[in-house]
Amino acid sequence: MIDDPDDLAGLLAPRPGGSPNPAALLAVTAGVLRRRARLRRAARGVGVSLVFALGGVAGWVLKPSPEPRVVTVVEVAPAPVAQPVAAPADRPMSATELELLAEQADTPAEAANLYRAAGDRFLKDAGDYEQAVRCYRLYFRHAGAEARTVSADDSWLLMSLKTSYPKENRDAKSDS
Amino acid sequence: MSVPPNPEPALRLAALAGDAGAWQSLYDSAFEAVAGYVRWRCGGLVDLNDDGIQQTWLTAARKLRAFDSTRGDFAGWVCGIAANVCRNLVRTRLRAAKRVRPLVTVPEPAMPESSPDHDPEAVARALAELPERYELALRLKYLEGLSVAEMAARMGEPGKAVESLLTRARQAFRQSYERRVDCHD
Repeated sequence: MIDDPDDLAGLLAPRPGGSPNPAALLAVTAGVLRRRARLRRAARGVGVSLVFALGGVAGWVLKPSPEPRVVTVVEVAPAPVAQPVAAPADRPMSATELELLAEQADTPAEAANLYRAAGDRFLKDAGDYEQAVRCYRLYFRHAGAEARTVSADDSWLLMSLKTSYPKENRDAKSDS
Repeated sequence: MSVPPNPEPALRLAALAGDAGAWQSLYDSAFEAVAGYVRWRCGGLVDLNDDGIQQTWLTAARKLRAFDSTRGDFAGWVCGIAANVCRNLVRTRLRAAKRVRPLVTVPEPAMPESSPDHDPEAVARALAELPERYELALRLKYLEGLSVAEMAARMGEPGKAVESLLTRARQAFRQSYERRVDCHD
C-alpha cells in the first residue's frame, strides 16, 4: 500500500533516458511537411485551372447565339404594262376603257370611233357632259371633215356639236 | 520594455509552406519538453516511449495547420498530441496483451535508474486511465515540479481548489496503480 502522499514522487518523477534519434525524426517530419506543402500547391494549381476551365465551359455554353442572318430578297415586280383592256364579252366597256383604247389605236379612224363611243358613254352612263364634249372633240380631230355630217344615231350632244361647228367656224372667221 | 513578438505563428506559416528551417526551429524548441513528457507518460517503458515520441511528432507535422498560437505555445500543443498518442498506445498494448499470452514471461525493458519497486507498465496504464484534469495536476506537480500556488496560477483556479484537485488526482492514480500491481502479482 502507498500511504504517504509523497511516495508518489518516486513513481511520477521525471524519467531520465534517451529518445529516438532526434535528427532522423526531424528529417522524417520535415519530409512530411514538404510533401504536404507540395500537395497543397498542386491542389491549388488544379483548383485554379479548374475554375478557369469551368469559366471557359460556362462561357462557351452561355454564349449568345449568332443573330439569324436576315436575307431580304427584294423581288422587283415588273412594272405593269398597260394593256389594252379587252372588254369581256358579257360586259360593256366603260367610257374610260374606251378612251384608253382610243389613245392606243393604230389608225385615226379607229381612234375616232372609240372616242365617239367613249363620249357616248360619258354622256349616257355618267351624265358627265365635260368629259363627253372632250371625247367628241377628239373624235372630230381624228375623223376629219366627214364627221361633221349629222346622222340619226348621233347623241343629242354630238348632234349639237356638229350643227354648231359651221357657226363656230363662221364666228371664228368673222372675229379674225 | 516591449515584449518580443512570438515567432511561432510566422514559423508555423513558413513550415506549412515547406520551409525545413522553420520547422526545425519549432521542433528544436519543443523536442526536449515533449520527449520528457512522453517518457513520464510511458512510465519509463523504452519501446512505448520511442513509439510515443515518433507518433507524436509525425502527428504534429501532419496537423500543424491546426496549431493556434493564441491558445498556447507550440510545446504545449505537441504535448496535447502526445497525451492522446500515449493513451492510445497504452490501450493498444493492453488489448494486445489480452490476446497474446507469452510462453515465457519476459520483463519489459525499462529505463535505467528506475527503482526496483517501480512498475513502469502499471504507471503508464494508471496515467492513461486518469481523467485529463487529474493527469494535468499530476504532470504540473511531479513532472514540472510546480508548487500548489504556481499550479493555481497556471490553471487559473484558487489554491484550495487546486490542492483538492491534486489530492483527488493522487488518490485516483494510487488506486489505479495498486490495482495494476496487484494484477501483475
